[in-house]
Amino acid sequence: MLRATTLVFVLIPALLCAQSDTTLQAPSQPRLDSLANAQPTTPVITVTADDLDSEVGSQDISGILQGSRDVFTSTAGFSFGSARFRIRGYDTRNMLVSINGILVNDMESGWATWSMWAGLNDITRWMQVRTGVSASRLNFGGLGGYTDIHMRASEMRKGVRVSYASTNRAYRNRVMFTLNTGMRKDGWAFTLSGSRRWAEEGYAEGTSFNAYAYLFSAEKRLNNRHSLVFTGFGAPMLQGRQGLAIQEAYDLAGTNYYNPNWGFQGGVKRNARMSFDHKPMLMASHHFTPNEKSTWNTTLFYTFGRDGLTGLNWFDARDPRPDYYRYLPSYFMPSLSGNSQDDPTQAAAVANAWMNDVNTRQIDWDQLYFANGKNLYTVENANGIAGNSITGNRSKYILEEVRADPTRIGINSVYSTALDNDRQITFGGSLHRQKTHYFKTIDDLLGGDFWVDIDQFADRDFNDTLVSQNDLDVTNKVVRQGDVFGYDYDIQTRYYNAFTQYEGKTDQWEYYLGAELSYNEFWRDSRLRNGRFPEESFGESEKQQFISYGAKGGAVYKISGRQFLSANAALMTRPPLPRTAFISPRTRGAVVADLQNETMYSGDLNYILRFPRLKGRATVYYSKIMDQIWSRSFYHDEFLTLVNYSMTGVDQEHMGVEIGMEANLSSTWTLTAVYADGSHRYVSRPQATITRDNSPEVFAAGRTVYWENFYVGGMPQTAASLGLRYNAPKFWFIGANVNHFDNMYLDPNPDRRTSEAIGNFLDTDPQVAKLLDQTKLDANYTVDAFFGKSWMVKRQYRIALNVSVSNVLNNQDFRIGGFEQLRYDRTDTDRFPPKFSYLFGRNYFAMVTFSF
Amino acid sequence: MHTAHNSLMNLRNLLPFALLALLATSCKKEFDAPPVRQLPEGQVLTVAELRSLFQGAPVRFGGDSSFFAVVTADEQNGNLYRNVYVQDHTGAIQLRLQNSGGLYQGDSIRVYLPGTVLSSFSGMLQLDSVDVDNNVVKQATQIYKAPTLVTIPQITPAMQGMLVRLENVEFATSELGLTYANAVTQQTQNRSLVDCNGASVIVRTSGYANFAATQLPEGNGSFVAVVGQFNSDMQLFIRNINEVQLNGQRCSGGGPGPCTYNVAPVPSVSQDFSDVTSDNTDYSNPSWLNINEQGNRFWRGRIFGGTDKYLRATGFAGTGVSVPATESWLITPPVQTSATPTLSFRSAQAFWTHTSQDPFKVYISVDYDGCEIADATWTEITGFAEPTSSTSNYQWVNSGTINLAAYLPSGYTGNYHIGFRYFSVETQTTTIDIDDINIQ
Repeated sequence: MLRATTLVFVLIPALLCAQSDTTLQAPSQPRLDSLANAQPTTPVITVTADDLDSEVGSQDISGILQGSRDVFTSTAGFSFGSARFRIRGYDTRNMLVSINGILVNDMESGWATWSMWAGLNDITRWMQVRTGVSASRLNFGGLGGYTDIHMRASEMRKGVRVSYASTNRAYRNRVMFTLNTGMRKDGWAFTLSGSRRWAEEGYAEGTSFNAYAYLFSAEKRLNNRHSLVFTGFGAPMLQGRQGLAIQEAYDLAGTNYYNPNWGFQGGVKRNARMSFDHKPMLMASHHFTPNEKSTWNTTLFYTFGRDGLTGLNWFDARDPRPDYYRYLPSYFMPSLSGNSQDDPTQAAAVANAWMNDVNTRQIDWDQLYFANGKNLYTVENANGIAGNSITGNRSKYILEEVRADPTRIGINSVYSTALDNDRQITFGGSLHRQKTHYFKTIDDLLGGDFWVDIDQFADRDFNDTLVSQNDLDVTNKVVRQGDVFGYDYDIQTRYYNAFTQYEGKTDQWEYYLGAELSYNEFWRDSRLRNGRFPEESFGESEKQQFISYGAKGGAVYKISGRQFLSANAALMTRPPLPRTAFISPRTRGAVVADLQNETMYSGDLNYILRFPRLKGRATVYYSKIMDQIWSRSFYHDEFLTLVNYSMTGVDQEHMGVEIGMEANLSSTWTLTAVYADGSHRYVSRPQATITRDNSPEVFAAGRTVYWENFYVGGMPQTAASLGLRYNAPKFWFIGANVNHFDNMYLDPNPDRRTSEAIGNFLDTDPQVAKLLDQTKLDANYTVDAFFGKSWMVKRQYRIALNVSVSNVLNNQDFRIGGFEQLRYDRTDTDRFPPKFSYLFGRNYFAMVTFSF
Repeated sequence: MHTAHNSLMNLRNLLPFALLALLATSCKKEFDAPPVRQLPEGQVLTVAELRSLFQGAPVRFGGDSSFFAVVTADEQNGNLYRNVYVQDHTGAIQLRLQNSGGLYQGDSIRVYLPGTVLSSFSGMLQLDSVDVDNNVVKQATQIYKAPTLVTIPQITPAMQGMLVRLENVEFATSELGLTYANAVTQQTQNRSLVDCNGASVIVRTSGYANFAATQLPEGNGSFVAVVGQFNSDMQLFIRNINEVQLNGQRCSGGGPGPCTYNVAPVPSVSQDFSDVTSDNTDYSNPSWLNINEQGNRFWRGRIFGGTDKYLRATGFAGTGVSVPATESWLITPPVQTSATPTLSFRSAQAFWTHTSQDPFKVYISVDYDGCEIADATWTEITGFAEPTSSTSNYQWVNSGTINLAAYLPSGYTGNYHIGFRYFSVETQTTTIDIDDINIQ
């Protein structure tokens, strides 16, 4: 009976596991697609509905107190994830993710790319997650903590598990199966896992999902001391994405889940923003146990693959995106700036078309084919060959794919040994080499015959026709489907590090000290010579080199066996990220001025309770990150190009409290209460440089941004949850949580907070406040409920049913994020209003699992 | 336990196949191209017939009808925006576009009329609301119409929209020295083109035209443009600045206007180019001359890393691209000869490709009058340190102190100019940078 109960808890889906005794929890940060941030037309991440937060679990080994569970982190993952709560306000870059101890955060962007293993939930739920600075025998860890996914065939729970899940989120169906042989008598252990997740259409109209995942791991135990493990996994994922829009578009479309990315083509829905990622990882490990006290694990790893996102591009033609601001009724309404056309009749006509004509509201693909199919054009001196004329239909509109294909190879080695019963020392190091290949290809000519690889704005602005060439070595290049165009370069990154950690304990104390030293180098290497930058665009850029260090320490004081006090602190530096260091990497190798290491420090104090009927933790924390670079590129329709906005000297402060309590009211009822309140702000006045991709002109350099005390956007800084759960003695449970969120902001558009923006306005002018005030989202709450039951058949087969319903009250007006548009009109901020994303309405996840 | 193990083994044999089957399904699907609709031709009009439909009130086209014409002026040079001119054998008309772009000179097009409006704007007949995507079908490209040769008095409302060529015309004397338009404020400007009989016509140029900042040519010659009208004024719009060839003798007999140069002599020069205001734009300083003798390039101001300012000249236009000869001169203000005249500067090269030519030379002249370089005597200064093909890219080389007395007539006390000449030819397009010019 007892064993069966445990099984119920072990094998329910991860999101429910968060509530169970095996202490599984979701990572604080949902999956971030590495390209989402780099997409050319939208400056800020547009994370679509996320499935991972509902599925990924972890095995929590909280700090030094091995085996304890943490109510706060599990609730934050389970109940706060959908509202984009981030533990302590840290972004994914500060949360290091490793697989078997190997750092897998992308070297170039810093992001943890969860999509690499999405769909391998049966494997990845065995995660070790620690929040904040902590001890680790795997690596030095990050400011915000670390997550380690453990993949080793011999340590997986032996058995077979098959599951089917139905949901109405990003995807609708999931099948998954996993086989673990455990260590066999012949010294081999195997793990095989695979899944498919798919939806013809996801929660938002026009989104789609088609993903697979696979993993194979084989382990051979050579003898008592040596084991060899090979592991390979990958997760090809094709996704039709949801885009954000301004409120006017949502209102006209009649839904806050309006998606501007799709339209009808021959009566079939087609999404213009398809992401297709597949980045397999291969690992070969040697596990060495020199003696009973020591381990020495070494792994060679290799990652490769693709990361692509499609989007519309156009030449000498109208903007084909349906929600372009000039296609909205507001463009024809009177405005403060007098920049829009005052034409109420036209506004009403446009509003009517938006509401009643799907081809106005969405992309009109048939029209794009129609326009491309009759645009006869002759390219003279095509492909750099004098006298070579090519005549055909030149596409005015195309679908291009923006690619960022990483290749990464490295080795990681960690030795750990117990000096005696009370003292442990760990040494480790790793070498990483990454090359990220950036380029664009023609995904679809949409009925035309070719595209010419020239820059349209440069074409108009300069007399010199060579200036407009994207490739000076092949001028007037005619490109067709699959051809590379626009830009083609690598960002090369090198990272070498070494760390050590010392741990010790006494009857009353546990403590640790750690240190890290690393060397980082990166540069740009371009295959194209660009007409605007003939001398800066080609070949290798200057190599940027940095030496960084880190030091950390912490201690636990045991007041009694039931109460503990602990404290952790760290001081570290880290190199700037290539992703943000280059001013305009698509065209040249120039980096921001005075590129330097980022410096940060962090500390927390914790009070931990572990009584049989009351468990919990209360924490206060403080962190400061200094000398960061902030950079975004956004499409500007008047310049017809990407404008690059880079800031240096961005300092950020994160402080607050975390409280999580769990009370067992009886043997069947459990009450949880969680509260987080933070103050995550920008605390410096950065210097901004503004450039654009198609001109050497520097719009502004050294522009001061008055950003002090603006909030870091994109998350609730205050969150609270109250949960009640009933565990029936007969293998079922039911529960619900009520969650409250407050202090949510959009990240501030820096340029609106400059003296240039305020210009000559009087202090009393209401436009000053409109420019300066940060966009705050309304406080909101959600209710989630869950249920689970399991059955044993013939004492060896187990069937489990789990259902969870999120946002039970179907609140469809909960803004959880968005961004202030970087383009703005200083005399009329409403002309380019913020874009918002909304929490999904009522949604569910139901799964049946069969295992033996 | 034993049975469980057996079933596990069997399943293991099956699972890889199941996995492969799943993976074999293609991830990405191609979209079918939809059947493209055709624009019917309907009744076919000539341009003259189209124009005759206008009887004072706007004509909104409904039923199927089309006309054929060739694009004679497009938006490429920025002078026209959201409008183009088309012409057939019977006449010409201006098309006003709903969206900029998509029609180019030489395009032979069929305009499908429904949705468009024939109307008059201040006397100019135009076909308005033309949506290139929906109203235009291209029949052929590179069908170029020859301009009609006319005289200024012949430019009347009957010529509206026509591509014309004028001979023996020049800009009015009172406007010489002005630019075509104001490129800074991007304001449109009117200039007067006159013939030798005193007849004149307006040349109207947008501040967005890529030649807006160009000075009006001072000579007499031929001129190609399209004809517009604003109320009673006839106007000409240049479609390509290369078709303005005014370099002959003016009606009054004078050639291109007199050269005026009145820069005061300076006792010394200390030039670090801190007055460069924007990166990669032609250097401009009232006291210094930046002259293009061949090709179309000047010395350009560069700003590196936000603060480091210097000048650059290059003929580079693409690897292996053969360029016509480029000769760019930077000339100092007149310098008063001191007791011990010296010169120093620093220079750098990048991407050395010169083989048969020297990309960079420094000259001194005592008789240069600030006008034609070729009219003065220039003595080459040699023997200073300068970058060579083996110097690293962008590596500054200090010239060292050059004694100028050796290049000046003995006992000379007058003024002199120093000229820095960049020269490139064909594929020899080495880049040269200069900075920190000091003359004592």
